[in-house]
Amino acid sequence: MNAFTRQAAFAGWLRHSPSVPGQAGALPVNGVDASRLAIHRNNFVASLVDAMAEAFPVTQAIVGDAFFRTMARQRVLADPPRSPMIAGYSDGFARFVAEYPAAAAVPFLAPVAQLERLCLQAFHAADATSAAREDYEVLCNEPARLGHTCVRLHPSVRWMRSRYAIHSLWAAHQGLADMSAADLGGIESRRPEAALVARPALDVVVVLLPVGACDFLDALMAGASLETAMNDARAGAHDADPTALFSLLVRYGLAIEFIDNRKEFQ
Amino acid sequence: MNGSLSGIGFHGQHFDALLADSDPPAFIEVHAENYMGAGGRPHAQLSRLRESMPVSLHGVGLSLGGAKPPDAEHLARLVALHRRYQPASVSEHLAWSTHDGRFFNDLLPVTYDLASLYRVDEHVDQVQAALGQQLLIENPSRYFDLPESEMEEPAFLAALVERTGCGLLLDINNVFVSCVNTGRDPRAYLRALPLHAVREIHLAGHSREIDGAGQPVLIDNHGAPVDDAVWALYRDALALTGPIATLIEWDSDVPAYAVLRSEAVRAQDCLRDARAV
Repeated sequence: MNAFTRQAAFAGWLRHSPSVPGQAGALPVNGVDASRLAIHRNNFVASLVDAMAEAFPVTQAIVGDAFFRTMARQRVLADPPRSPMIAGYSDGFARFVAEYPAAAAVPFLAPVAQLERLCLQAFHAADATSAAREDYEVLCNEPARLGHTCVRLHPSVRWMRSRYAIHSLWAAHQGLADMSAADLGGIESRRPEAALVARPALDVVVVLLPVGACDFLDALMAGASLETAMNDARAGAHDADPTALFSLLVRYGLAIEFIDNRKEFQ
Repeated sequence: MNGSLSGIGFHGQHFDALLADSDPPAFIEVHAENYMGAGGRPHAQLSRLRESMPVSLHGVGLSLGGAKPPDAEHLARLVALHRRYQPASVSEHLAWSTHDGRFFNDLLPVTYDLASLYRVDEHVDQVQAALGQQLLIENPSRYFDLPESEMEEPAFLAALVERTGCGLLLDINNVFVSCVNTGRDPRAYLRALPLHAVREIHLAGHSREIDGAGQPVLIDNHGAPVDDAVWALYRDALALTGPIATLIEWDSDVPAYAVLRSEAVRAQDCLRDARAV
């Protein structure tokens, strides 16, 4: 048997032969005690389930350890990582949660998992220096500039809208020694919320976004000027407050550069 | 790395304690894959520590024993990390972890035959050429013998060293675990290794279980203090090799920094005794 065939048999066994009794004949290596082989399967599954538990602590706390680990185990067996960089494996996990039938009874679970995924992405995102206060002051002092100033956002910045109270649910788990002790009783989970995730320095911040902020950030990301982005936000929600939107950029260091788009087209 | 010194496997939660340590370990080692993100705290910490002490990179994802060559993208990430941190050493395992594009996050057993030797030889050459540096290969923990193997592990490693010029990362815990699990004498195993090629030593903890046949089986879990029997084997190894840079690994249920540090101090005492011989 060549190495590819041998390893294919071993890999197939790791994925497809979870402790079902009476399958000893299907072992990938002859003459080896099945319980010894199972050490490798346990390493494979448990290490990746542990990695998902570490990356999705709030998701785990919401459904409990047993449910979470069963769900993660199914994902690991069905769709093992395609890269040794486990951080990237978390991206697919949030999608798996959204399609996991047994989690359908907790409709906010997948959005919360998605928020945790954004946190992990922000944690590992490229470094960049946020724009200086003076850069913002120039814009505040000459509001006419807003019409032709675009923003380069910090590479860590992410945002998401949800039909569920994702930020409240996430925040209720923070600062606890044991996340499973979180009290979700007062949270109206079906209240739509939008959240910002950013890591302007080393710490990831997660912020409840005000009305219109996602439209505002979408527009900035697409290259619109600050004025156009503010108008987009107000077109989507008449009570969007341009000052509050601009303050978000300042407060969380979301901009790394302001670009005068008149200069670009000269 | 200075061969007479001990270091610890670094974990982010120990950053402040490590910086505050007035008698820090001589070097730290990190899992390369944990530093392959673009930025953020992992790189901020490692950059700061690199200013104060040597760093070694320990890869767990190249799958050198795999049927296919190491993933080009993954190797490129390792090379980038190597350029950025200029590590004192780079190591990987005699094992496979990827098959047909899927990564199993475990160090899976290689059959010790000529075909494997030629294949791993090519993979090690490829990595060394990409890094422009000698690669250290770590002996794995084995839980059983593969029936198609045609040579003993030390002979396989000796041939690999001879063919590629790679060095050895001698994991004493893995020697002990493998030998107990497969009924070999760990001291005979050590003597059969190409000990001149050992550039670094690993020490770690294991757990003791009972297998399906009622036999004891040791599991390399990196989640416990170094076992007394492993300390004894370490002293025997040092008597054969002389002092070699030694790392304490502890990767699951990671204890407080002071616990890791005290294990490294104990290794340091062994190194001092070995130097005195």
